[in-house]
Amino acid sequence: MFKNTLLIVALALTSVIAVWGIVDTAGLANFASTLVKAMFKSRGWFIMLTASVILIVSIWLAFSPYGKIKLGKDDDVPEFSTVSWLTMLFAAGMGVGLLYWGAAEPITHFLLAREYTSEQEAAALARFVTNFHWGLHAWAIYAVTGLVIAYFGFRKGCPTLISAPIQHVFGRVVWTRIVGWLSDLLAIVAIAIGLGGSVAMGVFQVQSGVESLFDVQNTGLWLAVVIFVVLCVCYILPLMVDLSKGMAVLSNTAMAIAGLLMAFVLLAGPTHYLMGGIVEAIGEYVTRVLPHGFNTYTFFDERVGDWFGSWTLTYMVWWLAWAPFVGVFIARISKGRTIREFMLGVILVPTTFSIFWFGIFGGMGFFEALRTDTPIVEVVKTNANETTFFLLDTLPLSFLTTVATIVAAFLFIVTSVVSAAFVLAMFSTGGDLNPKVRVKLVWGVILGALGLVMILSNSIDAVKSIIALGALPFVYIVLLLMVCLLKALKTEAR
Amino acid sequence: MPFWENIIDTVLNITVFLFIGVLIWLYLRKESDGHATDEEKKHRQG
Repeated sequence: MFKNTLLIVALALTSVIAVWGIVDTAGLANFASTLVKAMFKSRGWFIMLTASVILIVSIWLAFSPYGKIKLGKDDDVPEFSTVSWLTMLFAAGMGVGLLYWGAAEPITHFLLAREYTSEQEAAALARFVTNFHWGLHAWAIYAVTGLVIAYFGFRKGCPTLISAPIQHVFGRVVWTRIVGWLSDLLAIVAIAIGLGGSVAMGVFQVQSGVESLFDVQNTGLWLAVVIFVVLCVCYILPLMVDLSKGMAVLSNTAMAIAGLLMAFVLLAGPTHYLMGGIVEAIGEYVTRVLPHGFNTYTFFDERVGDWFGSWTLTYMVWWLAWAPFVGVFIARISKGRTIREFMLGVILVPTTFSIFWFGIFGGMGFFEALRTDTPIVEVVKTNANETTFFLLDTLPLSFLTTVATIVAAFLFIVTSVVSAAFVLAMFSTGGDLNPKVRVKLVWGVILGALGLVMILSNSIDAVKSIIALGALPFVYIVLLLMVCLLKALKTEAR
Repeated sequence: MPFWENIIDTVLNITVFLFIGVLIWLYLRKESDGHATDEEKKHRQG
């Protein structure tokens, strides 16, 4: 009954948000933006402190004696080879977000930073900040959540639920039942809204790709809605039948296309310029990342404060929104690994990949902005969705690379929605590893409706605010989970 | 900063301080063995 109540409340809550967004899109966007701005203003320091503490605890766990503990029984061996495991981690980290922001994000930061310093320093700062957003802090949030799920699931035999570690460590008493129930609910809401935003971003990306391919402009909402309908048709089928192997193939295909695109841009673009930028990026990232995690831009003006809220804080909260979803995925593929292997693999490998990704796509953007007369800066200012396609247009074989980007974006969204519907169905049915088809379908429909809301808002800023609103409460849950993990490890070592 | 804005800011931050306090208390307090798994209990008994 309790489990069913969770399902009903979660469905009702997310449906109300979806209906509100469809009936009054601007109202929801304004509400989210006002509330998130107020929360960021008063609690920005806490979000940054949380992200930094999570990173420091992650590094400490990897090198502490707890690092030898296995995620599973002591004689369990890893299910996947190290190479396959690392590749799958890449796949979890590679999403439509990287395709969307690869060049647009560094240039956006550059536009603000150059008003405070020289263009060269502004470019370096923009590159560092982008890597900071997608790097160690993001992956530490995923890693800790994934570690909690894997440790309590495989070693302690708990169900795959956010509430399970809380009840395991503190017992099944009234407060843990209430907090556990709320944690499961907040995780569901954060995943659903976060995925809805991802769907919208993917649709905007595909729309810009189609416009670029057929050289049409300002297609408005109708093309976005057509793409959205095709997307819904594509993800409903895998929800009805068990296509887990097929989904893995689609995800790997998207991943391979993204990897090939990256290699192509590196080789077809100004290779020495891009490689020089990557080496610089690695150096500045390693030396500045930890202190920057505590930076709250307190002494800057309101403009920088607003930028900090709408980028750095939004990203940190965004990673928290995705943490239960990505955490479940990385936990499932990591059975039999030690905590040390898990933490180092999950944190270091995707971060390195991101530095290369932004070094190549962002570096290409900076090359166009600083060394040529192409209007890349204007493109980013007027329609960031088009940035990736604009850059691909400056290279040979642009028709082919544009099609490849559209296909990769489409596949990333389909596989993400299918996986998210599975995780939501599992969370809302008490950790059932084989949730009923109709529950998965209902979540698929709600994810679609939330995606539609964000598409109708027709603004990437509105999408970011709505995601942040859904994910903010999860900041508290991740910290509570971390305390559960540390207590359980301490008890086990006794 | 306007008066009411300042009050709301203070209240919001006090909730964060309280939350941090609760986390530290939860980490430090001793748990009973009641909810340990059988394997953990056996391990501790040697």
